[in-house]
Amino acid sequence: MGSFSVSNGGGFGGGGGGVGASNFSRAGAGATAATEAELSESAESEDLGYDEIIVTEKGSPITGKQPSLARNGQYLAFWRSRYLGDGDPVSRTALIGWGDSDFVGASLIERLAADYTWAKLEEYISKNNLPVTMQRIAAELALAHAVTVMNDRRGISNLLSLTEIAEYHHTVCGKHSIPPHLFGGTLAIPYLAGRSGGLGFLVADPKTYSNLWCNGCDSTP
Amino acid sequence: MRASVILALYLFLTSIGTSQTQGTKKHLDMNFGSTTLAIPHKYLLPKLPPTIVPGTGLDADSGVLIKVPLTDLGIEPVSRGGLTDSLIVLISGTSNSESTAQLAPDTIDAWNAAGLYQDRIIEFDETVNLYRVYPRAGHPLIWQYFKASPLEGGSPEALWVASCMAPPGTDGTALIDISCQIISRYKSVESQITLAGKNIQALDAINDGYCRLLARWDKAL
Repeated sequence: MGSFSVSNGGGFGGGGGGVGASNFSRAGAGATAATEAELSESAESEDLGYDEIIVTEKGSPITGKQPSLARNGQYLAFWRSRYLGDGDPVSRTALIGWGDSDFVGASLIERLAADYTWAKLEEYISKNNLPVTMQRIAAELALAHAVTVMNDRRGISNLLSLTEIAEYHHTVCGKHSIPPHLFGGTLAIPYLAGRSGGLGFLVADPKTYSNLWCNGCDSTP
Repeated sequence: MRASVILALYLFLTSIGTSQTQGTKKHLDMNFGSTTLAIPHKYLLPKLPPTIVPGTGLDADSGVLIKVPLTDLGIEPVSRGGLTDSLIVLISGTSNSESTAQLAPDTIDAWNAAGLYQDRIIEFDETVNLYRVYPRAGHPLIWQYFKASPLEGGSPEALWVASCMAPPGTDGTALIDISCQIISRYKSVESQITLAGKNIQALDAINDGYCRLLARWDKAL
């Protein structure tokens, strides 16, 4: 730890085997560093510890193994733990978004929306040669969520608001120069295409969609 | 089909309406407790679309998100890009008349070795002359910064500085990778500021500059 001196306690070993998800199929965009490989392998490889979760009327605090799951980049296990604890309303969307749709029984529309968002995000990262993978973003968002819940001082304790969720998305996405409107900020509207009668999709400008949420907002990363 | 056309038309018209709003009004007037701020549109950040946030079960929403370049506070950033040259701020009102911010329960736990911090790890960070208090399950990526060690006693309200996290796959020592949250008070306005760990070293200057910025937006002045 270089310049640090430990005055109470020491380090510890993380990780460990256990329950694993079986249906995570999305690969990261160009994982190169060892840490990326570790993130990919460890995303779902530790037991969930959900039986340790105590849901209270104050929301769902971060408990048990959840901090270490988030710390170790095991974002799917982290979100499953939050979901099975039945205390975190964000967990379902997160699991669908990060490729664990079967676990929560997502609808076709939910899967399509998640797949579309995933593809747009991956395309943006690739086109702009950003030095980040989808796994890293997922891992950082899971950790940011855990920390935000832990430090929640507004309203109901340990229960986040839309603005608090948006705050950590802006922080993580901004750090990697990813515009917030890319992150789920598009809407595909189906229409009948010409004489053939086939189904087409009118995709709204992401910034237009973003404007529905905040007139005049800054949408730059 | 009819609904799709109406929705498309709504998006189009909203987009036009937004452009007109941006062209005629450059500030958003918002009340935070007894203080009214005229926040320039260019600072506002959008909320997130419904594809990545759940529709129900969240805490009541309050506050507004803004992004403030450090240069607007008269501070030259240590580097450019990501979170290092700007602040992400969640502004809300407070009725708390105390000069110090109300701390999150987890921060109190960190000071008192309770909850997740029951088996805490305390380290002195010589780079910023602050003490890091970690929950063991979050070490070395999740911690609270205090001006003094909890082992020395004192009041956490007076000694807490920031809540911080480092990305998964790192060891938590590189300040440039770290993001921290501090609380700033200006009259009845409370700001939860997320900044790069590197900027912890310029905390007083950042807080002073930020409060001066709010004073410029204060409609009572």
